[in-house]
Amino acid sequence: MAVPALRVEALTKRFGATLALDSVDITFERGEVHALVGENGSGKSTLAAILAGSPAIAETGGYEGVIELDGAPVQFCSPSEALAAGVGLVHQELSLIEGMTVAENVTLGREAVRARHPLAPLDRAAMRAITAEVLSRFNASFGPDDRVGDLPMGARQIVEAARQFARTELKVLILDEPSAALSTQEAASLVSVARAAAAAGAAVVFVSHRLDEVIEASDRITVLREGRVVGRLLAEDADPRGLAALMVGRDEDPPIRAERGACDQACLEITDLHVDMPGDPLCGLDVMVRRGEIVGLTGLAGMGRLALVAGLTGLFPARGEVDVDGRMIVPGDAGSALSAGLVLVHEERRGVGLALGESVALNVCWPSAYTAGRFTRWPRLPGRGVLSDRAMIEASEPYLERFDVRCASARQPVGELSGGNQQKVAFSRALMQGPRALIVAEPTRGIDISAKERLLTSLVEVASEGVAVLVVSGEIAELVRVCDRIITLKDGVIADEFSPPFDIIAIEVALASHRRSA
Amino acid sequence: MKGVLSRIPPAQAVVIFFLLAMVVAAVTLGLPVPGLLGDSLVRVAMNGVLVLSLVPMLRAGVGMNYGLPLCVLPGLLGMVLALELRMTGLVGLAVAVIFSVALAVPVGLGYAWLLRRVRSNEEVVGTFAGFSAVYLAAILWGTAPFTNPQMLWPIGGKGLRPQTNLTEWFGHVLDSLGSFTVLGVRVPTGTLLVVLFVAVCLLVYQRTLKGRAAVIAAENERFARVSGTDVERLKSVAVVASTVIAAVGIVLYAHTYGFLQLYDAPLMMAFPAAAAILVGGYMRGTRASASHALLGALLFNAILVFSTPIANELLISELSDITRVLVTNGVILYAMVRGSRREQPERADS
Repeated sequence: MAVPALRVEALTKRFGATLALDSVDITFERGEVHALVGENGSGKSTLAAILAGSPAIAETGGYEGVIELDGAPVQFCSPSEALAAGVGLVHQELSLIEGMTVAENVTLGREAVRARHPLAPLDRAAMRAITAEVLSRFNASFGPDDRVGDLPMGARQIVEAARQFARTELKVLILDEPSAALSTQEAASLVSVARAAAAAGAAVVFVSHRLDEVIEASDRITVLREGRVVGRLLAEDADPRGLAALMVGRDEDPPIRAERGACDQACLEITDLHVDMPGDPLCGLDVMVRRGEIVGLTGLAGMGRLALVAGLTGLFPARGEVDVDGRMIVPGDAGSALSAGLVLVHEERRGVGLALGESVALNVCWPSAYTAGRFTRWPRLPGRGVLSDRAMIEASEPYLERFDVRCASARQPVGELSGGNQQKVAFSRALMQGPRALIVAEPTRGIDISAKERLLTSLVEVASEGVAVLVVSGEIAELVRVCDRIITLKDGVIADEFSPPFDIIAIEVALASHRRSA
Repeated sequence: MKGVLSRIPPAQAVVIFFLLAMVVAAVTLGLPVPGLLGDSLVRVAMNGVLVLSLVPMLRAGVGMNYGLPLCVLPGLLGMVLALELRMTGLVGLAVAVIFSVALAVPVGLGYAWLLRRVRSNEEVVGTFAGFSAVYLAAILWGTAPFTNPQMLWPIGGKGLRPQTNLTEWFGHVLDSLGSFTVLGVRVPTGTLLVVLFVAVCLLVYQRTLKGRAAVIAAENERFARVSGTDVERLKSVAVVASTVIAAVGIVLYAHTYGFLQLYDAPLMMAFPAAAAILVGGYMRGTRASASHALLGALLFNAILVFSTPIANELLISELSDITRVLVTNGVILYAMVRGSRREQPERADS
């Protein structure tokens, strides 16, 4: 029996208390495209990261289990080790140097040279030829001499992929959501190039959300759910609905949607909102959320899901009309949003949502203190008064109790708390501001089950108090539990709207069919 | 006591130990220790406000103010104007300070405008802005139509001298205010009280809403922005505050030194001040505080005052200036290397 190109056995990976992979066994054969599918958090990107030697894996405690490459056990601590052994990864996040040409990016780190000594000049003609050859496989509309910074997002993704496809020596090629930002034609080229690489003898691992594309591109499909393998099937036997059912599982958590009376009064109205976020733009979003209603907004990567909060908080240029109870907000001006009663909980809590070096109490109270001058003494002093730590601690304690935030005291720096507790602090901060409308992005990302339940329940409680809540999330299974309506995005605008009772598989299938227009 | 000792960071412990060793060496060599201690206090009074002037910019994340030579120019011009008006004594000093502050505000606004355009390169740009401004001011010193003959070149009577004696104008007036001698150590009370007053003002401002906002903006600008903070404005206020304090600082420096020094004298002003706050425990990636500035001013100046006669006594004479430059720049280098190591990227989140 032939030795497989790559085999993983009993692979287990933990991030703190979260079990990301639980005793996973998979075999990747030469000459095959092997797809890994699963919902967000199912462990497929973690598996790709382990196979490609991502340093984040070793830094978070490594993994248990065995990885065999050509029958020999291996353990990669860095991407360069993995590459040297013949394992390459095409990541969905671009790592290109925008000021360089396509040829310079594709051959980066292994440039062609004219002689074999350290001071040898670059052989630019050879670099161009290598790049032109790989680009021709993709039918690319740009050339080796184009500057990457001038290319559109889809083309950059092709350059990212071309980097690895130009390495003919690779034994295993992992594609982690490589087609997220691609148009239909670009994705089709990528699939054909991946199949060609497999035909040339490589084992191709294809990680994707798009079920139709997975079925078309791959020979074999492995379905992951909550870190475990829950299905292995041949692509020819698979259909999108069946795959979605395997991904979601049969045991749905019960809804925690409250039975609320009809609420017809519009509270949050977003009209023709455009956000120029590279790779994930919004192109004219229209959403209305009523008082006391929870609306879910979801979509695949690249469809504009992440742009809403980023645009409203001024992290990317935004234009359009946003109003809360008739008060207009300037998109991008966080101050005007706060004063109108629109509170945003950013998905990136460590980078944007929290000041990690500051105390829990200050994080909970800061926007209220700064915008409304609360928790200060002697407000006539220059600097608008002295901030009172005691007042902030007293004000934050009820929220910390309500959300069961586990911290030594409200004085503890928030950076020392676990991810779930940090998210609870970010949520407490939002409620402290007494919002009329609340936009929460990825509220449960990276937190454990009990914290997740607490937060989802709180969303429903907040809505019951008459707040309009818009939840932006890729976690469909959670949206169906709390939302009154779920809206899906395609190309930065609304594609579909779903109402209870939700058919989670229908939503997954609808999402999987979304593809950016050319 | 043990608790207090354990809270002293290793770098400061080494500096304190070094200082104590020098005091012991000075006693052993028969050097006049009370005199040296008195000189140390005088240098703290001279330099204290200049070191404190670094704090607002550091706290707001604008970086070490290597453009200090630019910031002290309004102070120098303020003193020149006070001399031009023939002001003497405490009134003369007060007039110099008032002119300095009035001139420092527009200079600070211009400096803030410049630094806003060079985000993340503020220290390098500040250094060269300082150097350029010193020579630009030299044209002013050489050509402006001042008339006080004691400031002017004796031959020709045009252009300011590089050095003017302040003793008969307002030199040492604050030092001698309430001055007393204890165990042979003469304490320049008035100036030290002004240094303490500036430090207390900074400490209070650190605790205000805007003071905290500046620190938060420095540590996590995106968090500050989404919380409704006008980050640019906060940073500009910090630059103006640093400029104003530096302008006042140079007036106190010249007053205690006893001479007004012009032309290229302020050129290297930033480096001893930066070294002092780094000796005081400030490190890149941490929050600067007025207490770092005060402790640093004390330790750094005491080391300089003690090291010079000891070096002259034990080694070759004329080594003092070499020692001073070596210590100053060595401390900056050490603190920057250590600070950069602290700024290693955080672990990737799962």
